[in-house]
Amino acid sequence: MMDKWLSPADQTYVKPTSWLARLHLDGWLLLGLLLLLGTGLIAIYSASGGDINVTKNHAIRILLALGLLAVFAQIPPKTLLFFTPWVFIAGLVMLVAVIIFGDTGKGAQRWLDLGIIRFQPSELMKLALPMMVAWLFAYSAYPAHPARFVLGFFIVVLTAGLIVVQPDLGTSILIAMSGLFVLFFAGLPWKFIVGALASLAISLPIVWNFMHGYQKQRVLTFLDPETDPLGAGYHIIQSKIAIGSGGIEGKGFMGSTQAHLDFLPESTTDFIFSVFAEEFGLIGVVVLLALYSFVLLRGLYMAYRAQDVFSRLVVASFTMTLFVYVSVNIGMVSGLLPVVGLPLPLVSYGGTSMVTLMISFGIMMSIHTHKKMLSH
Amino acid sequence: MRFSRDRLMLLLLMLIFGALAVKAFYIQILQADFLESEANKRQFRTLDVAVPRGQILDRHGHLLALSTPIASVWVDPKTLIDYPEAIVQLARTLNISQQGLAQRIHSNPNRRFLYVQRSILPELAEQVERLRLPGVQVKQAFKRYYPTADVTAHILGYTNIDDIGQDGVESIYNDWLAGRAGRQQIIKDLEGRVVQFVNHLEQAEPGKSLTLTIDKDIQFFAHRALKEVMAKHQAKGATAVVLDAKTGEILALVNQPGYNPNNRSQLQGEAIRNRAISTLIEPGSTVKPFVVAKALDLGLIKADEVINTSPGYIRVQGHMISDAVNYGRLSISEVIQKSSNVATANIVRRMSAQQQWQFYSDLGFGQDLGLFLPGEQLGQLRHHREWQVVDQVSSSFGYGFSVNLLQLAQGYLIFANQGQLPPLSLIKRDTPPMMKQVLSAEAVGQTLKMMETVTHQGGTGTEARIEGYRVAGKTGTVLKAGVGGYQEAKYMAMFVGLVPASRPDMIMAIMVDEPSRGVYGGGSVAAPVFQEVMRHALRLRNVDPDGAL
Repeated sequence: MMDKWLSPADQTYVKPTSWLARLHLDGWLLLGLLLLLGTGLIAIYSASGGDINVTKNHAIRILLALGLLAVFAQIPPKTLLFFTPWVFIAGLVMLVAVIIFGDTGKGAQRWLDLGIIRFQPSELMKLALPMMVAWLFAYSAYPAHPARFVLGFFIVVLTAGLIVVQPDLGTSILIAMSGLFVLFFAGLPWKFIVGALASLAISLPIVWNFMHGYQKQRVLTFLDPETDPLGAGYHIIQSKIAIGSGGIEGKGFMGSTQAHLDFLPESTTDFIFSVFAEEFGLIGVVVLLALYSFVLLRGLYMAYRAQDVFSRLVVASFTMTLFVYVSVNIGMVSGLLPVVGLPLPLVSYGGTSMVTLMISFGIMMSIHTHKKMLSH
Repeated sequence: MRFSRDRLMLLLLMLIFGALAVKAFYIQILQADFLESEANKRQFRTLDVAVPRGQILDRHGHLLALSTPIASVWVDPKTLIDYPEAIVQLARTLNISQQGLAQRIHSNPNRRFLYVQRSILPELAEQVERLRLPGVQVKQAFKRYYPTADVTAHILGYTNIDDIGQDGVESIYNDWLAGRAGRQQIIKDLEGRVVQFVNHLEQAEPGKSLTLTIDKDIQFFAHRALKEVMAKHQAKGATAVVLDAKTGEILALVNQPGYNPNNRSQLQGEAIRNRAISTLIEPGSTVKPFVVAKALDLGLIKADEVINTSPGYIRVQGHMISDAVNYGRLSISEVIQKSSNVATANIVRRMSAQQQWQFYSDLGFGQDLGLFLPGEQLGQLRHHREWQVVDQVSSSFGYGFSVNLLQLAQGYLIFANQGQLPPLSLIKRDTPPMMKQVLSAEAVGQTLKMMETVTHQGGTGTEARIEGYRVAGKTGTVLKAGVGGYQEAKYMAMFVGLVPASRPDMIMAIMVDEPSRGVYGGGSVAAPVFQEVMRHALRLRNVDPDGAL
C-alpha cells in the first residue's frame, strides 16, 4: 500500500517560470505571510497606544525576518538534510549549557549569552527537533522499522525534558508536538497513538504532583477564571472583556480601550488578538482566521507536493506546528485554553519567535521550489 | 491509511478553527453586552467638577471676595503601596518628607483614599499630574480669597475648607455664590489616571456674583478709625455702621476686634463676633431725639416750649432720675443738646406707654433687621403692658430695653426721610426701597434741627463736627448692665449722627465698649470716630458742603 505522501503524484520537473520561483519563493505563501505581518503591524501600532518606535522596531524585525526567509529559501533540501543532525546536536549542547549557565529572563532560564548575541536555544530546537526526527525517516523504507519510532520518541522526550526544566512548560509541549507530528506523518501506528494517549491520561495525576505551584494555579484558574479575578484569572477576564466589547464590527482602529487603559496585560505580545478583536470585531476575527487558514492550507498543499520523505515530514510538521501555535494562542486569550504565554505567530510583537517562524517558511519554500524531475 | 492522516489533519484544522470562530462569536455576539458593560464598569468613572464660587463685589464693583483655583493631591494607598519609587517621586515633587509619606501609606495599606496635601498651587498639582503616578490623583478645587482681608471680615464671613460659607454674606448667600458642581463621566485607566473625558452628566454652574451695598473705601476708613479708637481708649470692643441716609443701604459695617479671613489659624471667638448685630446695647441718650420727635408729632410739646428741669432731678416711683448738673430751664432744642434726662422724662410722661412702645416697635427696635445675618440679636423691648411708669420713663432715655447698633442706626433713618423708614439692605438693588411713614415730616424736620445743636458750642457732640458740613447727631453714654445690676465704671460710649444735616446723605452709628482710659463719654470717645470717618466719606461721595468753611 503506497502512501500518497511517500510517492508524490507530481513527479514532473517543475520549471521555474516566474521570477519568484527563480528566487525560490512561493508567491501564495508569501502573500499570506505579508498580509498577516501587515495585520500584526497595525495591531501593534494600536496596542502600543500609537507608539511609533515600537511599531518601527517591529517593522525592522519583519524586514530582517523576511531577509532570513529569502536566505533559507536558497538552501537546497539536500544541504538541510545533511546539516540537520549536527545542528540538532549543537542545539542539545546549548540546552544543557542554558541549564548550567543561562541568563535568567522573566524568572526562567531561557537565554544563552554567546557574547555577541543573546540566544534562546529552545527557538533553534523548534526547527531542529522536527527536522531531526524527519531525518530519522529520510533514508527509511515504508513503513519504517519500529526502532526508528522509538528512537524518534526518545529524541522528542529528551529535548522536551531539557526545555521543561528551564522551566518552560509551554514551549516544551509545543516543541514536543512538532516532533510528534513528524512521527505521526511518518506513519506511527495507531496502536501506539492510542496507547500513548491512554497512558497520558493515566499519568496526568502523576504529572500534576510534579507541577510547579504556578502551573497548577494556571490550570485551576483556567477551569474557572472567576475564582481569582484579581490574580491569575485577571488576564483571561480582561482579555474576554476586550474581545467581547468588540462586538460584530469592533470599536475601530485605535479604539481598544481595554488595551489603551492598561487593563489588558501584554497587549502587544501574547494578548494582541484581544486588542485586534476589540478593534475589528467578529468580522476582523473571521478575516484573521481565514488568513491563517490560507497559510496553513498552502503549507499542507506544499507538504502534499513534496518529493521526498524528509521534505514532506518537515513541511507538514512546520505547518501543523504553526496551526497549534495559532490555536493555542487564540484559544488562550478567548478562555478556551490555559494561559501559557505564547505569542500569536506573525502578529505579536517580539522578534525571536517571528524569526524562527520565518526561517521555517524559508525552509518550506526551499523544499517547494527545489523540485527535480524524478526518473521513473 | 493513505487518506486518513492528511485528511485527518485537515479535519482537525477545520474543527479547531471552527471552534475558535464559534468561541469568538459566543464572546463577541452573545456575551457582548455583558462584557462591554464589564469594560465600562472598569473604565468609566464619575468625576465631580468643582466650580468657582461667585465673586463678592462692593457697590462700585471692587472685589471683596474671589475664588482662586487650588488643588488637592490624594492617593489610593492600596495601589500606591506597590510602587515605592512613585512614593519617592511624589514626595519629592510636593517637597514633603519621603519617610513621612511612605509611613502614612504603609499604615493605611487597605484604604482607597488619603489626602496627601490640600490647598496647593495649581501649577504644582499639574506637575504631579504630569508624572502620571499610579494611584495618585489630583482634585481641583477653589480657595476663597479676600483682598480686603480684615477690613470686611464681619460682613463677608468666610468659607470652610470645603468652600461652604460659614458666616456673614458667605453663609446667607451660600447657595447663590456656590453655584452647582458639575458631574462628568470620564475614562480612567487601571491605575486610576484620567484618560479621556466622555460627557457631562450634570452641567457645572459657576457661582453667581453678588454686589453688596458696601463701599470698600468708607469701610476701610471706618475700620481704621475703629482700630485707632480701640487703641486710644483700650476698649474691649467697638462697632460702627454707616448707612446711606436715603436708601437704608449699609455702606460700612465694622467691628473690633477683627480677624483676617485669609488666615484663620489663630481665630478666636471674640474676633469673629459681629458686634454691630450681636452686641445688645441699652441705647441710652441716643433715643432722646425719637422721644422728642414723637411728642412733637403727637402735639404734646411745641418746638418753642421751655421745660424746667430744676433741681436737676425727679423721682419716679421712688427711683431718682437726674441730670449731670442742674440745667434749669431748657428749650426743647437744649433738651437734646444737653441730653437732659429730667426733661425727657417730663416729655415722655405726656404720651401713653402704648404710644411710645408702638413707636419704638415701628422704628424696628426688638425687630428682625431682615438681613438674615448670622448671630443677629434682636434686642429686648418688653411689651408696654408690662411697663410700669418708671419703665416707660427710663426707656425715654434709653434704659430698660436693648437694641443692636444696626437697629439704632436704622431708627435714625426717619430723620433723613421726612419721617419715613426705609428697610436696611446689604445687597445692591436697583429698585427704590419701600418706605414706611413713621412720623410726620414736620416733627422730624424740627427734631433734626435740634439735633444739629448737639455739635454746636455747648452741645455734647462737638467733637463730631466736620469742617464745611452741618452735623446732626446724638451722643449716648450708658452704664453697662451686668449680672446683678449696672456695673460701676463700665460704660458704652455711643454716637449716632447724620451729615450733612440740611439734606442727610449718611448716617453713622458708633459704639465703643468699655473705654478704659478714664474718658468714656459718647461725645469724647465715639463722636471723634464719626468725624474721622465721615470727613473721608463725604469727600469720597462728593457730597456738597452745606456749612460754613
